[in-house]
Amino acid sequence: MGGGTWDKTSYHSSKSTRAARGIDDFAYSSAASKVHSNLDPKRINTKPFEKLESRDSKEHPKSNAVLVSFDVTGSNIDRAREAQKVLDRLMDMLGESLSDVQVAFAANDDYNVQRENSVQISDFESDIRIDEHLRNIWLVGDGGGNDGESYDLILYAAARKTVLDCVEKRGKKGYLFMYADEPFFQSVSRKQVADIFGDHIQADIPIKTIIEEARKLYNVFIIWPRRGYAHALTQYQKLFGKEYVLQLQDPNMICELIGSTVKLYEQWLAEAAQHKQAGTELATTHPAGLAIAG
Amino acid sequence: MKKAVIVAGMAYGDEAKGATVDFLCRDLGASLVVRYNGGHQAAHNVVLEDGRHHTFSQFGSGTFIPGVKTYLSRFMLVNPLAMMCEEEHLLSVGVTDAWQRTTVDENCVVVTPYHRAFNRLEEISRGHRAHGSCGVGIGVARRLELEGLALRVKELGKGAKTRDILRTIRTRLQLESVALNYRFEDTPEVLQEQHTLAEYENDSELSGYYRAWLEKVKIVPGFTPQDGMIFEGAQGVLLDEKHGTAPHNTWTNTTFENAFTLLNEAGYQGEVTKIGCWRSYFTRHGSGPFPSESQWGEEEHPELHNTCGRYQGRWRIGSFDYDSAEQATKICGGVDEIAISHMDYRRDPSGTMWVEPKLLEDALGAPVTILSYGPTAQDRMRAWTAKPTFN
Repeated sequence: MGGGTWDKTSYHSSKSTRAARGIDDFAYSSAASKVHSNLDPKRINTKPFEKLESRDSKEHPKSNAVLVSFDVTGSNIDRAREAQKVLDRLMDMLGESLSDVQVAFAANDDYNVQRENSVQISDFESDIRIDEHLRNIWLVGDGGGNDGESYDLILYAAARKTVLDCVEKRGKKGYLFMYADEPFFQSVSRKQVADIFGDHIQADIPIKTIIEEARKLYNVFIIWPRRGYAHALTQYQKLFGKEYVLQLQDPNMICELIGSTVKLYEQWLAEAAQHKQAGTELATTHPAGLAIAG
Repeated sequence: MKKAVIVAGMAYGDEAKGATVDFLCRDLGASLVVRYNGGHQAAHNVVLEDGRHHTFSQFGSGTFIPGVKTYLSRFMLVNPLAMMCEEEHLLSVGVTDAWQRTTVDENCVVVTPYHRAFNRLEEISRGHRAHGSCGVGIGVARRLELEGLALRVKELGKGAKTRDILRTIRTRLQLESVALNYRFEDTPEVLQEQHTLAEYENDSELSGYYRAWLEKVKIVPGFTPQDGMIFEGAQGVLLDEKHGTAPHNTWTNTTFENAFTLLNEAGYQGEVTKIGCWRSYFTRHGSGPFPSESQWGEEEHPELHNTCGRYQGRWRIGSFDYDSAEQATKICGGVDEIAISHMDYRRDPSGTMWVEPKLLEDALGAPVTILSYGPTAQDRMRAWTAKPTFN
């Protein structure tokens, strides 16, 4: 996976073609009753490695993986729409700090409401297919009043269903951005994993374990909208650490938030590497979360 | 100058409507408080600076202020017995002329101990699937009213006629209660309520109490607008009879609608301001959906006046829910001003803001005009965007 190059022109021409024909950018979603086949988590086990791959290639010798997940419950679906509108900006901004970016989109609902349709995840791509995947996300737009959404299943997908060359070949983690406004459930359920991914695991996985696993592959950031539940924010800060929880001030700026976070984090990584070479300590933890949270 | 302010709770109740009404009466110099929905399940707490406290249930929440009158409109269900108890407490906190300042519409439906008894039996029979009722009989009285069986204030004190209606209600509910199934048939609670519905003597005893009540309170044929009125809503919009989530809702209209009906019928031409009340976080008493509920308890969020009622159930708290706030505002056809209480508790234990007033203003397109930082009127303030409503 991950061939081709992101091309602004093709993004804009396909967007204006849709507009001219009067097609909704999220045309799939408006008629959907199930997850799109290109986003169905069950397809992963039919792939050669039974994983979503972000691989180096001749075209992209130094790939970097970025996985962005949206919450498609309630009013949160507007964020996915926003991201689609400004996708070219996101790609530009990521391109400034990372080489050969490969992006995958994911979305989660609440398993207790949507059952097997509660997780959607695309392949890693580096061309106009990114946009196609994003537009094929089913924006469900409802959710349960059960104090939690199935974010844990996205973590499971990231931790166990992806393989990244940037990590395996160069020891450089990818980025996982999760848009979330309700609490995480306390564990990844064995039954839910079987139902959604077709995987058979021994027992439920505690949320802390799956976070640790995901963090071996990704720098995990949570994006909390100011309208999100306050007690959810508190939970994220406990689970991930304050500097990894970003507060989204303006809902239309989600791409800028992701782009600038990556930029700051990359700068910090470079600085840390320099310090390591010089044998000195870096005084602060990384600045990204706190600097942008403000 | 004629002006009216309508105060309504925009969540699940407990949005500090009482304290807000008390504050508005003082701040605006209002002369009349009108109850336009609900019944005596309302528990509107007002605390004075000197520590005196009263939970207003049927008297208007402006009653602590000398000269402020109360009018119970026909949309309110009255319970004369509870009202007499409430007046006794008002006496004990120094309000001596509450009866003289209160008028009741003759068309109000009366909630009797029979309604309450049936309500409680019903809730007991539901077991763990209880609806979260206050257990005071408002819903039962309203249901019977819709079915054409109601005792109205104008029918009290009519001797045999009053007793006839009381008997009809009692026997009707007794018959209905036969169909209820309880897990345990002979608990003291069940037996006591069954006894209330069974006793023939209760009718004449009740009718006597009602006669005593009639001597104290003034009955009026309808609503007369005054200069400076505060309309005091009960419960919350998310519990509305039409828009709340059945069966965990109330039997009354909790939007601004009834207040407007009263004003229009009286040919009122003056200015009207709709104030929506919220806490800085969400709360819900009893069962029913609560999307933003959190697991925090009494320790992190001490609650001054709400307890765990036998019939009402658990006191629950959660984060401020902007989606629900928008939904409630839409149901009401918009609000003109926003009041937020409990701003002193606006941060959760780890310092996260529950509500950001500016964000709420943007979401609802209305200014926040009242912020409160404590239980008394002195803890309330006009917010930065405020414009005085009365001169």
